[in-house]
Amino acid sequence: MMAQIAIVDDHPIFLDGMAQFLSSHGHDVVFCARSVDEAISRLQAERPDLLILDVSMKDGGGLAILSAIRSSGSTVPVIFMTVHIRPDQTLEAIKLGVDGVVLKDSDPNELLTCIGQVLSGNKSIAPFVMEQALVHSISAPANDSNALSTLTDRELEIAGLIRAGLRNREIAGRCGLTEGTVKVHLHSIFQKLGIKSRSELIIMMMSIDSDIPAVGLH
Amino acid sequence: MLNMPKASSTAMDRLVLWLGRSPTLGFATSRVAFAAAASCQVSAMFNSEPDFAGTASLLQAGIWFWTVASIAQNMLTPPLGLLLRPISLFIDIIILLTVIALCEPLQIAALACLFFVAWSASDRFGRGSIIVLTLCLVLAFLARGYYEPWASARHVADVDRAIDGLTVLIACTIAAAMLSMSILEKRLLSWSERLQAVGLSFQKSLPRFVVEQISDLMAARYCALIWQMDEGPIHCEIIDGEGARTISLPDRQIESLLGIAPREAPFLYSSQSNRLLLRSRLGILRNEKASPLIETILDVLGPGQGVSFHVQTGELRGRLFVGARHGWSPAALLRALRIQEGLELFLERHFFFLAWRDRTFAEARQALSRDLHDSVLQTLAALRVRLVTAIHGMTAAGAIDQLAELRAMEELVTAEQAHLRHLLSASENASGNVELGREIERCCRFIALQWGIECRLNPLDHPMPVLPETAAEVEFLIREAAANAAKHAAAQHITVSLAQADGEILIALKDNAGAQPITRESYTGDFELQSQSIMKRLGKIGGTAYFHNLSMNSLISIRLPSSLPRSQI
Repeated sequence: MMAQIAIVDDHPIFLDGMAQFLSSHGHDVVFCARSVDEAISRLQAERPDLLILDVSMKDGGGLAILSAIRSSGSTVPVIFMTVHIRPDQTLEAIKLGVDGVVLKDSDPNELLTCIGQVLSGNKSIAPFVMEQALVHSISAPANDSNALSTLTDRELEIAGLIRAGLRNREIAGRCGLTEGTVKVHLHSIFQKLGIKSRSELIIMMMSIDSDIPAVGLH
Repeated sequence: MLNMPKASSTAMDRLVLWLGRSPTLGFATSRVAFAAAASCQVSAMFNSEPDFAGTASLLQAGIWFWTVASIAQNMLTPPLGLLLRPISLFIDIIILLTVIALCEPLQIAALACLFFVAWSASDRFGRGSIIVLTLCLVLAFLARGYYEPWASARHVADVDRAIDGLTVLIACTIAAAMLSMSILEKRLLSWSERLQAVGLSFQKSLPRFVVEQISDLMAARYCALIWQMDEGPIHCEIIDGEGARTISLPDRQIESLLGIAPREAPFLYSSQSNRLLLRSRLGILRNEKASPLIETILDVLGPGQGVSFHVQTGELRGRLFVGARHGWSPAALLRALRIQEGLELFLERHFFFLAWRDRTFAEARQALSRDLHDSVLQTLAALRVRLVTAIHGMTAAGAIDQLAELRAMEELVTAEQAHLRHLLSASENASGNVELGREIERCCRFIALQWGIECRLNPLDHPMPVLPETAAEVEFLIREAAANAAKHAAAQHITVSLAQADGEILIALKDNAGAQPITRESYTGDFELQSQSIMKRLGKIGGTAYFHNLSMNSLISIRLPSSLPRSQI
């Protein structure tokens, strides 16, 4: 099935090679763009049957283009062709209605197969990519937020106060505890989170978009 | 490097700061002045009474004895000093209050002397003692005028002037002490604030920086930090008259210096006493016998007094010993506690910055590595697409002769893509061992494709699980050696053998040359290999490589340790 295809990729050698490859296999390459802005502006003037987009580009890459064209109401089939795609990006792309995902290091003929399937109205996402996305969606990875959920309310309160930069004595005064009790809680927090210092605790908490109230800052 | 202000060490500076550091000097000065004033007053009262000459002498002797005794008791070491201090303070209060009630000319001098008594009492018993003293003072003032104003009736103008002068001296001592306290407080605050601002900005080791800062602040004769990071080896950093240096101590001494209980409490020590002065958890002063510790301090740090406090922040655990003149003043313990807090705050901040910096660097390295790998994968993909296009075109044009070469090249690119992808997923999935035989077998297949030669691995007798980093090093060495053999020795057949023994991996590459004349640029003899890249790499990981010229072929033997340090990326 012949198709008019537009390719968007910021890697010039790959872009040229892909255009030649598709042309040699009977497809018509409508245009090649090397940036998100260029692609969006070219798409306003031209109507390809299929878009092949790279995910890893500046200004949001393929996801930004897909989001823009879906927002404009276009249903043109889109294939992501990328070196690497994170599971969350895959899920985002599926939500936005991507039709195919092919890894660049796979056999180029797989792209031809993918194009054929997509033009027939089917979805074609590389099994490896799909598997990673599935694993990501069904199992919440053990991260720092999960580790924090093992803390008791009192430990969370103390962790919040440490994050706010308070010393043990000040924490003790604020929580109505003795300094020794604060140290015991702190030891328990370190053990539960597998850390060894207040610095690590502060960094861990700073890197979490946590719901813990910023106690002590008022 | 940030320059921290140094505590001046002039004699005047020391004298002034001594006044503010503890009440002992002010106490002694005021007491001598008061004794002189009291002696004058006794003389004035009894000079006109010959019958009381003996009493006057006795009274004057008593005054001076009391003065000397109350000054001397400050120098007593625990436990005697600790026991006598409350008794002495009690007697002081009784005497001075009595003077206020009975002897009007000495009232102001006695009142001024009570300032230092109150300070000493506050040091010893806490701030509650000030309230008790104030109540007693109120009672003493109420009691004035109920007794015969004998002293007031015997005014002598010269004596009054002398008493006034001595009272002014005591008042000046009080003012100097308060000023000194304020200077000390500001210096401590400024030191602490500056220390917090240092962060990571010092171009020396952390322990050396710490001992230098503490030594400067406390104008110490010496400052030693015994420290340990994360259950690692214990070190001792010291700064004294000979400068800063690291010394190694025997285990017995380290155990004695670090194994102190309770760990958190600062304590005062002196080589003249086998006891330590410290505060209990409730803030009550107590002394503990610690002869072995004092002996060790004497051996390591020399004679004299000092203060010691514990430091624990993150993975750093240690104890500071600071040789400073402080007497047995409990105020020194409070000051040590504040320095300890400032230091721990600095260390926490330092470790926080360090952890943050490491994390940022690691993220930057990972991002760089990811970008690099992405770029290589992109280029390989572009190359492959172009090759496939060319193969497609040539097949259509019937140029069968060149197809084999292009297909071999495509196979090479595909192998490189797969290898790179494998490396990336292996680094993402962390840590387990890899089977070296399987990795090298794949590497041999790649070498064969790359150079168009025969390259094979001799079958291994048993599996060789190694860290991924080790496998990568072995692969690099084999690739380099094979490239040298193919390029410079025109090798057509390479056989690779692997063995593992005594924590080392042994690699042997045997090649036999092709028909072309051999250019042995890299190989100069039967001994050490001349390949710069291989020798440089082996130099970093502690391996060796040798070249042996055999009759029909050549042999390269490489040795490297089985366990290599894990990469940061």
